[in-house]
Amino acid sequence: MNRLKEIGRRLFYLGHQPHFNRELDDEVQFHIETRADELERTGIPRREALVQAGREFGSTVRMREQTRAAWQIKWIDDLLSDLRYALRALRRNPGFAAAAIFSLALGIGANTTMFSLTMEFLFSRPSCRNPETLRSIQIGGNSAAEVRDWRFLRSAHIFADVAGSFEEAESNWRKGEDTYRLSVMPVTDNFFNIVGVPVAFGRAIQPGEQYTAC
Amino acid sequence: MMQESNIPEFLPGTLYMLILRTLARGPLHGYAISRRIKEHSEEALEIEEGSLYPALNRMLVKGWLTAEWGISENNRKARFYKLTAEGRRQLGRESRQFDRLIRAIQLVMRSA
Repeated sequence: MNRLKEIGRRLFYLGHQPHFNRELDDEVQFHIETRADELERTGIPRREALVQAGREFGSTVRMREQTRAAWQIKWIDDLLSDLRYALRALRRNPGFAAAAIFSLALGIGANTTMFSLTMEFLFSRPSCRNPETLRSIQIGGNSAAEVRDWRFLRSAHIFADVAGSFEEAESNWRKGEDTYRLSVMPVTDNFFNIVGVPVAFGRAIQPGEQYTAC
Repeated sequence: MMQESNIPEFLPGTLYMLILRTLARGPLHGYAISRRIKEHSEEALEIEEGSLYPALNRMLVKGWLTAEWGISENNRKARFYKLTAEGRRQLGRESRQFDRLIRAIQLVMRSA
């Protein structure tokens, strides 16, 4: 508990350094003046008394250093002065700074991209409902199967259900006066129910629907 | 006079104890602390300003003292140091320890 309070006091100091320094100045000033008052009472003129009191006090440089050290959290202070030094050096040499920032940005960017891609391709779960129950089958080699064949396979009840899809196709999409060429994948009405791919936008095709785009 | 002033160096930690003891009777500013110690020791102990203020600040950090600005007897703005409850406990601890040390040293010295 005491230790925590101590850290609190040190942190407070960190935020109020100029104030603390001023207070120390005032305190030293008071010390010297009070000593001078004392000397003055022994008959020494004010000016000489002040000079002598100052001389007795001695150099304040080391005393100030040690007073600061009493409050400092060493590593934070070192870190701050290192950062200040680094900033000064970078400001003096903008070309170097730009090169350093550019190569860091490039390095970090490339790493982030590689990490995201690796995560996506190697470690992410497939986005369908039960990947272990899904099988891809092809009827009739590489060519597309007839709808009739699909119906037959479905009614044969070898699989719980069979959805059909045509993997690579393109279609025109008309929006107002403009027409867009889109990559599409025609599927049977039960496709979404079986595969369970979440729909990013709009709604899934419902069983029984025909000629619907989604 | 100057040779006497390095007592805290051959008895480490006694400076804290002396300051705590001096403040036990009531708040004082830095100058009065060094003055009191000098008077009460019959001029044998003189704290250098260079070690008084760092020590006072270390004691503030430790929570043994609090500091407050006030008006001194010579009508100037001065910083008064006051003992906290923790400072009072620390004074007890340090003087017990110090007594034990002195007694032990005396025992050894008398045995010879």
